[in-house]
Amino acid sequence: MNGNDYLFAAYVVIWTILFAYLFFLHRRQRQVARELQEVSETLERRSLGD
Amino acid sequence: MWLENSKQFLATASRLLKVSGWMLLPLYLLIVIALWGAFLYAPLPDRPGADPAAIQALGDVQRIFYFHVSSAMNSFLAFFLVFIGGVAYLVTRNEKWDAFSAASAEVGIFLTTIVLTTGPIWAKPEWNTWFPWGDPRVMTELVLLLIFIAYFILRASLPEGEKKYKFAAVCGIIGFLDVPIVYLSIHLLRTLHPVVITATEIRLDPMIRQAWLMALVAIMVLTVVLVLLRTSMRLHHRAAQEMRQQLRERRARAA
Repeated sequence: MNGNDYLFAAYVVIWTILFAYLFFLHRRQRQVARELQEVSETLERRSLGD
Repeated sequence: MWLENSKQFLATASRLLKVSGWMLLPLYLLIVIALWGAFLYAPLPDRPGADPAAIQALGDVQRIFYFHVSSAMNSFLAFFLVFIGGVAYLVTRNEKWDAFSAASAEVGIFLTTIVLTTGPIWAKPEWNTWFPWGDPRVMTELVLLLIFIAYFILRASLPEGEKKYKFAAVCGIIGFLDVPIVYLSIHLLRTLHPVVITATEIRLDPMIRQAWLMALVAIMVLTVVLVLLRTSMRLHHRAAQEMRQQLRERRARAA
């Protein structure tokens, strides 16, 4: 491997780690979205019950 | 009727989140292809009249070009989205467009920061200066960054509501006017930046052009994913705020 091959490999590793983090953030956001949806539905049920 | 807004925000936010999720894997593959193009596929450029030893000495730092220029062009795209969102908000008064504008401005700042940090790393070996103060392209790009930082200072200084969204929309639209100035600065004024890309042609070696297009597409998809994700997050936040407000009002009525 020459210098550029190592450089390419290093950048792929950096981007892979960044993507793993982006993927984690995405999953976390989906979880927050589900929780908000549940809260919204609960509030709506209570509001109809008033 | 209450919770109607927050339900709409939640529905839109979930749709955007889903779309950005589908784009993650293609984005990863595009970035790896762009890195391959920049580091392994593209040759170093010809410098007519230059000593090959000098080309080699400057060497691979030139490869910054692929991500520096692609980030710059996509920052223009992001600020154009701020403009679109601003106009759409002023026409429709729908808060979703404000969230879209603010998300695009964040991504634009992110990309402009990449441009203004990779630029000096390249400028030092090429021009023997870290930051060419007075260069029209560099200065207009810096002003662009400062305008959109000011955009967020304005947003932070106003309470949530129509007035804030209206001011932000106008500020975003006016801020976007710097983008054509940045683009034209190298065509109309004397600058260290070479004119490589014009409206009609790209003056690059075919292999370098192909590698640059790979990077451009990859960063464009990254821009879209980030705008969708941040818009979705902002809409979730607005939905939560709306619910909290409604609860406060209910409690007040009950008391």
